[in-house]
Amino acid sequence: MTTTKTLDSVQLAVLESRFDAIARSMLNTLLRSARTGVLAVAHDFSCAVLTKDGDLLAWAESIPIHVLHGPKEMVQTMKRFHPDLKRGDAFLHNSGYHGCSHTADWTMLIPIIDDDGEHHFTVLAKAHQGDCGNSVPTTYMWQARDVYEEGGLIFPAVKVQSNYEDNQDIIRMCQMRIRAPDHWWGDYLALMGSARIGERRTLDLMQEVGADTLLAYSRQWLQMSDELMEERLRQIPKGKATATTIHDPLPLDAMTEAGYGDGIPIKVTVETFPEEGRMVVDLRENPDNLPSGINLSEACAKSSALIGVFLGIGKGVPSNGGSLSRVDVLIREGCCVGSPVHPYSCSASTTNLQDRVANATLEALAEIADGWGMGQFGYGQAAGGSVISGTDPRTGKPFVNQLYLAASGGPGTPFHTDGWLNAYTVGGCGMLYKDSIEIDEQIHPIRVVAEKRIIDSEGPGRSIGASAAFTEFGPVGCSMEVVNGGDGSVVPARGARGGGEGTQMQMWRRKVDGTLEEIPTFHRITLADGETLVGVSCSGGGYGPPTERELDAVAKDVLERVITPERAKAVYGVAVDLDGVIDHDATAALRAA
Amino acid sequence: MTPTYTISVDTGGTFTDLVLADQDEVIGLFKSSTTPDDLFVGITGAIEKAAAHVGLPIADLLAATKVFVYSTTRSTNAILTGNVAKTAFVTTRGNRDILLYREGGKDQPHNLALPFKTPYVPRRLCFEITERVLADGSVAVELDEAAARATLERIGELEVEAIGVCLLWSILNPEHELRIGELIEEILPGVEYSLSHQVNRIVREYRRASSTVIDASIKPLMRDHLNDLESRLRGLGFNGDPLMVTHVSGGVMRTEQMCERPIQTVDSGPALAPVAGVVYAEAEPDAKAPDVLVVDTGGTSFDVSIANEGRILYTREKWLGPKWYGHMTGLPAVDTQSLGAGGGSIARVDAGGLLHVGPESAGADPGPVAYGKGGTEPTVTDAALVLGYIDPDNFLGGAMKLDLEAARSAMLEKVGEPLGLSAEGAAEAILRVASESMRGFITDMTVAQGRDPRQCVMIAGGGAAGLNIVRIARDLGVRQIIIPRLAAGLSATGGQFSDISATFSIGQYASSAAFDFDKVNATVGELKTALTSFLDAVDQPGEREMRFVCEARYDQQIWEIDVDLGEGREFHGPEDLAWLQERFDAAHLNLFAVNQPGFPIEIVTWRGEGRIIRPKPALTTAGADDDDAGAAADVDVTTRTGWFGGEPMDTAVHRVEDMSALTRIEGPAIIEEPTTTIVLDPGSVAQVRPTHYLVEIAGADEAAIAAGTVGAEA
Repeated sequence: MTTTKTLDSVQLAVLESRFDAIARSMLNTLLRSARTGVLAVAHDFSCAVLTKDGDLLAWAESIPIHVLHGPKEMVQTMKRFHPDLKRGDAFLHNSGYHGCSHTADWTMLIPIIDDDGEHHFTVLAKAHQGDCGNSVPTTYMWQARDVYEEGGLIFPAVKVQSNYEDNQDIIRMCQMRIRAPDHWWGDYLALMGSARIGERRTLDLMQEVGADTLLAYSRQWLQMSDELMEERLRQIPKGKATATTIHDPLPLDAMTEAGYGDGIPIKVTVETFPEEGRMVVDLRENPDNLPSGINLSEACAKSSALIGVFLGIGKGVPSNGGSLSRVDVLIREGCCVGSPVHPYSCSASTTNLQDRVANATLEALAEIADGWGMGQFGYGQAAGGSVISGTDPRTGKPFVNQLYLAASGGPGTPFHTDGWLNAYTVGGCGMLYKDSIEIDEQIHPIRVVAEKRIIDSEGPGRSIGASAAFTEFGPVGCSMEVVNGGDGSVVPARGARGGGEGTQMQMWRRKVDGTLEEIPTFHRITLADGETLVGVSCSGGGYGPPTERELDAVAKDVLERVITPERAKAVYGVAVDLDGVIDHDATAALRAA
Repeated sequence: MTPTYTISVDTGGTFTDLVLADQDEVIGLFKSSTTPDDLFVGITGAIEKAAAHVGLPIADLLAATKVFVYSTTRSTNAILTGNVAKTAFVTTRGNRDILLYREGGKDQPHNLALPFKTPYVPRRLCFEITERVLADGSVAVELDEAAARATLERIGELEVEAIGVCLLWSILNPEHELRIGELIEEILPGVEYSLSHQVNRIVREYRRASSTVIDASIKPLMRDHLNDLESRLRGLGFNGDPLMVTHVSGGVMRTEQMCERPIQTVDSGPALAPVAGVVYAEAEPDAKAPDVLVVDTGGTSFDVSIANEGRILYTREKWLGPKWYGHMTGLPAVDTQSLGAGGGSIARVDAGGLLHVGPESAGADPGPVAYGKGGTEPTVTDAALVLGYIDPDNFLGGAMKLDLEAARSAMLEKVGEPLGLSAEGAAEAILRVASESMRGFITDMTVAQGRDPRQCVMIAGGGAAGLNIVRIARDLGVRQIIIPRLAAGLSATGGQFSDISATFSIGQYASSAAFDFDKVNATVGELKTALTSFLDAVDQPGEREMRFVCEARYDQQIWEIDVDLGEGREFHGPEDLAWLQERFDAAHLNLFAVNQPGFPIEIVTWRGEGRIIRPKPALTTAGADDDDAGAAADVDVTTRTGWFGGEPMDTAVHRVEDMSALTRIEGPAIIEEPTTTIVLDPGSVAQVRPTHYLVEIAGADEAAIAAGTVGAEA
């Protein structure tokens, strides 16, 4: 169906609000009814309304890495495998080889079909699972040499409902292959409920204002976003910059054998074309697919570059199918940050390398001109984001979940705002909720010993990168397995335009006798009763020279105990005492030096 | 016989509203400007107007007043401006930054120009104590008293005025908190303090800690303020019951009880609006719906709340300031959500040609362009003026002349020309967009509470409510709106109908898979004891009742939902447990459209509310605060041009001081009440009642654009 109808500005604003409301009601349903902590606490899920071709229309408060790139490919996959879509169908999609981010991100796709059987829109609900049946109890399986070792069930747009009825064969398969199947079932219901609510609301809206009006809206809305993006990209000076960074070495023989024993080098080149209102991000000069679950899916490769771009160009441009089309992300098939070749695994696709790509994009953008880009986000997954599993001695039941305690900091920005504390990673953009210690201790047999901001750990700058976090936790009355894949222990978050770098990630095992043993940040360990995992997260990188930081801001940093007076003097050139009183003469001398 | 009066006062940001009632009925609304430096001046100003209205000297009116209900923004303003006591936070070792990290989360993923909020207590005043209680209430680390003493001495040196103490799991084992309280009294006599298990005994350390430090920080000033107010009122001749102060659950408490829990006053004013809303809904025989949706529109904020079957809906996530960027009070409170939108919201067109209204506001100063006080950006009020909805010569009862031409030219320049619209077209667009954001806001809230707007009757209060409420209601599918004659004083009216009440919570875990009947009954028993002692301390007459709620979730869900337990059923065997399970399953289905009947549930918190039902007046029959308000006046109908849907129409203007009952007014029409203006769009009809207008909207069903409008569907 095509339409030549044209809506006025007010109709557009009204419909934008209504589509956004649909996405929000889907998110609310998922948040409040989901079972697993990773969903219900950490908000690690996304909901969106897409055009029939899969262009992003509305995604409310979703997670960027989930939705910026990939929904379109997922919709195309659904249409290719199931050309005859009917109302009442629902499709499960988690294949990184067909447009999804990674195996743990279960996505429910529901085509919106009118009474005449015509497909107009698609709603998408995507939720990171507590467990997806991997061979190791984690959903970020960097250890996996390939998809077979990864082991999670993969559904490339598999029809799980017809006529609103579940396919019980698939349910039973899942129950056999997923840890804590009762909780999985609760999450499955929440995911389906959310998608069905989105379907119902979109159908109601379509019935109310007419399908042609909605189609006109989606065309004009994407067009308008495209124009806003064009205008923004015309403001960035012409330039080309390359940023390189290195992901931590993985403790895997296969990686060492492949020549990456010193880490994985990543290179991102950004080129701006203000005269055309376009930008190109080139990811092609990077290693081939790796024998590790760390490869990016195509969705994550492109999303990570787009996250860097959207963060770096400032607020106010809606990120949707219209504006996204102005950024060409160049990727290569068979590249670790490109399009993965089956059976290479992309289990940890939403974290590690994607953080490196997004951060390098930010850095390259900052190099092109002051006022754009920003420092780098601290890296994940810090100890506060550990995946824990074991058997709860209080109930005798198994448990597996990802914790969301305080994690890495966000970067200093060109907008004179400091880094967002507990930003988590560049992919999360600070959107994730943090666990309550008491709730964690209520539902798992653990004790959280500490969760604190570390003084003098900020990334120095005119705007500072947010401080690192110290976390410590361990099992109570049992042993517990902990799996982590923490990057940033070697190369931390860099600053931009004269800003300093953040601190490195570190982890230790605190033994029963209290002694600390440093352990790699990539690990699968068992903590005995009485032992704890101690972790220091990364902080964010700063933006601009620290000696340009406003005096009052430095004084406030000291007052809030973000930094010590000693650091204020040494790094920021400010003489200030513990009460925040500035010695202006001494400061002038320091800054003149 | 000398009448016995009840006075309720609501001190808002701009006006102090007073509603006077005698033993039979509400007499009227009296407004005076709020005087922030000394609120008592504004309050006495309003009392003087009320006294003049009933022809009594102020002393005689106060002498004949038995109940004085006081609702204040004093604590809220003190918090928002940072004028609170110098407060320290004391917590378990390892957790100094509970107030800093909060619960994470933000919106606008690509917008990093938003600053991270500094903690409620500065980090240099956050202290750790060596001790630890675990999730089962057992002590893992004993309280180190010597170190605690040293810490308190250090706090003393810093000249701290108040201390909030929140230790992990004090809700299950409060011994360490209680001991620290004793040490504070010993080492720092005179320093106010609050203990978390007493302020808000709920699980989730951030919320509890936040409640506790907020409570401590306003204790000194609220104690002074409330005692000062009461003694000055008594100095003027007030001789009635102890001063009643309103709280966030929409009820009132005596001064001395409130001084111990001052956090209960924070943001308490808006909680009275739904109290009034429920009364109006019950008073209107032709508008029966299970749910009541209450909106209260001022110059800068649009507050929404909901009641179901007469019970006002609660939230456990009350934010001071914007969600994620403010502080959570953590207390169960009436769910009043506030959108920063009102008459002052500014309209602008962005680079892509999209029209936005708000969130920037011109406020009261400089205010809308039409105020002529230097405002240059067109606002919602300017739009209403251009559309002929407001009479430039009769704004606020003629108190302010509006500059129509200035509003028109700003409208044309800033919105009309960029969009290719006339001034009226631009004004219509602004009202549509503003109404749409209000509609969206109401939708979000009804969805979150699992209600369907089409099943609601709407109560619209506030001075600016009537400008666009009919169009908002129509888009929501609401068929009936009640607009009180005293719309401009909805909260103060609510004060007349509020009961003496208190809510207590206990965070006691229970699981249906291994239900500890004794522990649960003991917990409910403990709540009953606390409520009984609260009620016993009040010697006012009135029927007494208790109601209980538990906050429960399916096994390993994270977020709880409320399950009504009625008057406090005890749990003795499988039948009682099955009863609880059924109620939970039904509530879950209602909220989320899915459930897992019979799947194990966990109860996290038990809550009880005790209430003494005060005698209530009937709703008023009279007008408002000008001197001739009570006098009968003829209905004064004129005509002017109003614009509806882009068309100019002859619009009847009813200027009403007193209108006989059962008059019917058909839209398009405008009703000008002394303190509010009601715009009736074509297709709407107002029935004039002695106490309110009942507006009925034809075609609301068809207009209900269902995207996000409709509540939970199966």
